[in-house]
Amino acid sequence: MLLYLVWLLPLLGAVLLFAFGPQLKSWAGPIGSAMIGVPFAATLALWPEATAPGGGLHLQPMVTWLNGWSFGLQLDRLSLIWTLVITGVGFLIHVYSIGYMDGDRAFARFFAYMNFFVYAMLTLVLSDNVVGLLVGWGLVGLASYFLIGFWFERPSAVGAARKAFVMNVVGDVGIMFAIFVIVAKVGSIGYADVFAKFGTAFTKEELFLVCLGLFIGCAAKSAQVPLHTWLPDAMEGPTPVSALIHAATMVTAGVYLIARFAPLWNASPDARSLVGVIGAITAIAGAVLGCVQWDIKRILAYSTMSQIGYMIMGVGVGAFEGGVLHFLTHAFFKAQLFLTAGIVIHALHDEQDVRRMGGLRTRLPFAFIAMLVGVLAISGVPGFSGFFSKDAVLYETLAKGHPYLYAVGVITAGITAYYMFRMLFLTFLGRYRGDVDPSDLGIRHPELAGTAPAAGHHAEEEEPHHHAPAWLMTGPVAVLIPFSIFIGWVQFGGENSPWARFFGDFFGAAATTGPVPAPPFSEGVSTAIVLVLVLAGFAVAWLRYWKPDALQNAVPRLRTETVRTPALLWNAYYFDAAYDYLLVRPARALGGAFVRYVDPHVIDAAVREAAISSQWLGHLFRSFQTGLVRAYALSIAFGVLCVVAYYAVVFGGGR
Amino acid sequence: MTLTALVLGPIVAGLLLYALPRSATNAARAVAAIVAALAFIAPLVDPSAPDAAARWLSRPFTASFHLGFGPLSYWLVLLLALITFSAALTLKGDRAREIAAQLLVLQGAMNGVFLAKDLLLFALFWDLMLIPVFLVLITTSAHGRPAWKYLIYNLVGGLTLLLATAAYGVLAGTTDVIGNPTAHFSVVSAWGLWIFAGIAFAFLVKTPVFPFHTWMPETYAELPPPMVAVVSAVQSKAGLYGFMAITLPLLPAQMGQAQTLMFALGLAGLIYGALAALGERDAKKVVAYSSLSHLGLILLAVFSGSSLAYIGALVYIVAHGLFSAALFLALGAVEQREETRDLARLGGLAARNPRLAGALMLGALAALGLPGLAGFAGEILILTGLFKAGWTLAAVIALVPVVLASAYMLRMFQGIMNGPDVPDLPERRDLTWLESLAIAPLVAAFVWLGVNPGALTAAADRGARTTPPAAITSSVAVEAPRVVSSR
Amino acid sequence: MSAPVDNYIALSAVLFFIGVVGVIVRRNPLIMLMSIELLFNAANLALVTYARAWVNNAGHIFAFLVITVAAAEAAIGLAIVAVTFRRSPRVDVDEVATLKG
Repeated sequence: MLLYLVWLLPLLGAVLLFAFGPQLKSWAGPIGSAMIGVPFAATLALWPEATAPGGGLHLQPMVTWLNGWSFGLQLDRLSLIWTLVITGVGFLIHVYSIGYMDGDRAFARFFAYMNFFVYAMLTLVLSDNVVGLLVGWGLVGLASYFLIGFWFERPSAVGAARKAFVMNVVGDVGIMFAIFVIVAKVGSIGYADVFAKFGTAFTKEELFLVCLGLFIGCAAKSAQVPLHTWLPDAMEGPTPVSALIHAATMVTAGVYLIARFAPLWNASPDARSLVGVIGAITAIAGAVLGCVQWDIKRILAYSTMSQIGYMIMGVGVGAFEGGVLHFLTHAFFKAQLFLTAGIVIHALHDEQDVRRMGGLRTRLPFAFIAMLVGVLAISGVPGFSGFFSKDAVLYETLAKGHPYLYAVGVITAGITAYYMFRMLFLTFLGRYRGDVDPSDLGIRHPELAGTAPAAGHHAEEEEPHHHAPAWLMTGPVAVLIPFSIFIGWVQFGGENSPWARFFGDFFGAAATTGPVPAPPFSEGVSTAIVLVLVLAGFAVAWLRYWKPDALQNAVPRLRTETVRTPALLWNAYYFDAAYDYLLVRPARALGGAFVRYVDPHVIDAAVREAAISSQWLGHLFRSFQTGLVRAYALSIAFGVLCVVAYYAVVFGGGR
Repeated sequence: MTLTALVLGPIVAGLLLYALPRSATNAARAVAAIVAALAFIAPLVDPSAPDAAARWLSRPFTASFHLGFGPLSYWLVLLLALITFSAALTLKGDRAREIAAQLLVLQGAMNGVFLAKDLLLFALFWDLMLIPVFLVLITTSAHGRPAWKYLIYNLVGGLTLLLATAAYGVLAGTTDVIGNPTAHFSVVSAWGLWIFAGIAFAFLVKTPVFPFHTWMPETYAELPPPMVAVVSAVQSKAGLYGFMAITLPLLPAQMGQAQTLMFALGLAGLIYGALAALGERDAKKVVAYSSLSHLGLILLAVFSGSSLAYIGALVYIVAHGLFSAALFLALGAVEQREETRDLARLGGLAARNPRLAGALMLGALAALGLPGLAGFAGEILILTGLFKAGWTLAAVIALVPVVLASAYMLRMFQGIMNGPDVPDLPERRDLTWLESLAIAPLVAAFVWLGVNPGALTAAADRGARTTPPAAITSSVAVEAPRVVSSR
Repeated sequence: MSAPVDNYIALSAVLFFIGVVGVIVRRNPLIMLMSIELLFNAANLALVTYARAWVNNAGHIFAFLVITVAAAEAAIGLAIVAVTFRRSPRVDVDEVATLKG
């Protein structure tokens, strides 16, 4: 029963806030937060049941469509981790939003969407079958669409929202394809049935196809190359949305999906290679793009993409525990980074361009500390949570026999340190550059870059209002800080760590095609290599942005850097342009041609020809209708004569 | 008694409406809504109403005035009543009385189509349901062209249906055969295929299926909103219902022979409609083309020979009825307020019309197959059924329009509702309570069906068992080898 | 006994032929109506003749029916003729051709 409460309270909140939002006024925020906080507490209460032996908590099906299509809820160790993060981090972000969204015209609508998102995400992780998962999968996409397009008067937000939704539908379609195969071969959609029967039901190719279909879904939702282009654009949404959906929870659903279907991946080495490679490509591609961004949220967006690449690489090669741990630590430190960025953006009245920041350390000391902790955590500095999880993923990758993926991951770790420190230095150190003429910084079209204060309904409308108390925004960040530091310690102790014991043999062992060569060096050496590279990344960032002369000449140096950004990177490898020219435009042009040319001038023309031929027949008959009564009479007489003649010939012989 | 009342009641009520004064908008709306509500309640109260039958012809073949519920028709009658009710509530303007009257006549005629258990009676009602649509169309469209196009296309279909019915009657001795499990008359030799072709042509035109669809966008664009809701939601299902309830049990071998052709048409329509919807600027025509795409999918399901897809087809028929009616009513509200349907001109309505935006959004979401709404339930059942029956390639191709659907539906929604305010658009008033009341039951129904289509799937399962779609599959093995081999 | 059946039938044929020629040749609607009456009565004569010859009263009944129809026809026809005369006093049926296709 408690699980139903966990699942349905956010939905209730969404409906309430949507129906009675205007009447609730400023109560919308606290109510929305409570609808997430209570499920969090309830989930904690369910911990013993969820971790009980025998697969955790599994409720009776609620709905049955057909034989084999039953829908129920389950809470096991894996979904427990996700549920706790969704409701826990979600609750903090809701509280933060009360402060951040204060004074927005659609305050209640925002919380309605956020509650709806949490509900959808819970549907995704609590479902005990693959169609239910797809329902959650689609609904989180919808919530993401609503929240990216939250300020729907902005054309850029509207376009970004549509792009995110359509690309996510590509992922839905991948999962649908997997469902086809599962239903056709297994005959049931429940996880339990699938895992029990897939070994005998699937051939090797079918297994790969199922994994491929699931992975397409995962790539779209988790912004993996080549379906990643929506994520940076998704930053059009309010910052808490970026923190909750596009960093902490929704985008990591792909990791959940692969971990949930671990038995399938264990059995398919081909699928593992594919996923591992895509994850590694995404990790490094995102990290490289993160180095040339100026929008603080886009830097974080690309870092998210890169970090999810790590997780996907981890779960892809079979290092499920490491991948899931990285999800857990990432959820905390990335939420913290985004929320801190939100504090900065809020303080600077919607300025998001790091070139126009600088020197905020004294103005926003708390934000500086929080951001510093986040950057240290994401860079993998020892002692911080990111260190443990990233190390686990990387070393497991090597141990499972993927030296090239390992190399990519290690290099990415160095790049990560560089661009995160770059962001930190640009934002908080040196002199404040907000009063510098944008063109001196190389910013040509501040309004087009989407970085200038957006036409300002947000800033304008909050002026006459009271300000929400500052602790609403700093408090949640302060709660996140210790987690960002310490949550990774659960992995301390290797085989006997609490984390390893928590999962035990939950994920099972991966089948391999041959003996895996022993890793060439121990975990300690690997850690040392990573640390050296992180240090190198930090050093480069220091040289370019923190050295005294770099701080002195910040403005001209930033201008030079802006102008010299390689076009390939600035255009994000031209993925968007390629999709536009190869898919979007041809489809539109074809559709337009169908409507304006094929329908009227081909299909209708054929019909018209038929009509014209019957018209010709009509003309022929028309000529008989002379209108002369006497002519008609004559023809009648002639007809009668014919009839008489007929009878005369046929029967005439009688006399 | 119930069944006869379901058919004749609305027709009589509709004709009596002409006795009201022309300006009696409210009275006409109330009468239409009450009649529709009664038609909704009657099947619920009396779900096992006995057949109504009266001998009609005995030479050259026997035919009866025979009405009865079947596993599919029961739901279609309910759907029709619900949508007529919603449509009636949105009636407004100086032509409300006439449209209300024609709505009721249409409802009666379509109940006749769904309830007829005699092929000749079916053909009669089939043509009767053209009349109200034509009469409304000829008076609303500016130059009358769409009306004639609609009439001629559908009359040609009606003619072939009538000829095929007559041929069937002469060959089989009776036309009292729909839903009659003992009437396993197999039409021999070449005649069977001709009879099937005649019936199928009528169904394909009415649905419509590519390439017989060109009457549809114009008709949908020109009809007043209440009428187009009923036509797109229910009349377009008459052909698919016919395939499922008439030709599948009666002419399974011929269905099998036509399978490859129908798959080609269905897939072509699926892709063509989706791309055309992406290229169209007129909001109502976007939905019209999307219907072409969705109905193509149902056609695939009907001809696939898979019982899972057959079940999905009924779910999707009802789902499509609900969401297309909601979409057209919402678009009608937009058109009445802004006096344009051009996506390039509209924009930014959501800020002042939250209820209207919500209604349109929900309709669009159901139409694009959002998981959790009824469209998805039908879609996934159909596609899975296709795949399971061995139509792997078709199932994979049919996934492409799913992506396109999200693109064109959001394009339509955002073009109307989002973006900056367009200053020179006329008056803005959010949905009235009456309009909200009209759309609400449709939304409630497709949400409920999306979560639990159990009642429908059970009915369709019954239908699938009494009229085994497997008959197609077995005939295919002999007569028309699959284009795609099963894995 | 009266004259043989053949004579009556011959008279009937002659009357019918005169009627047909009258309808086809004359242009005055009144004369055409009169010719049509001749046609009817030629048919009546044939019916009555055969009814008498074969002692079957169905022919008489038919003759009455034809008389009734003829009366109705004359009424409608004369009404139409009256209307056309109102348009112009000299009426030529060839000029009344509004139903021309």
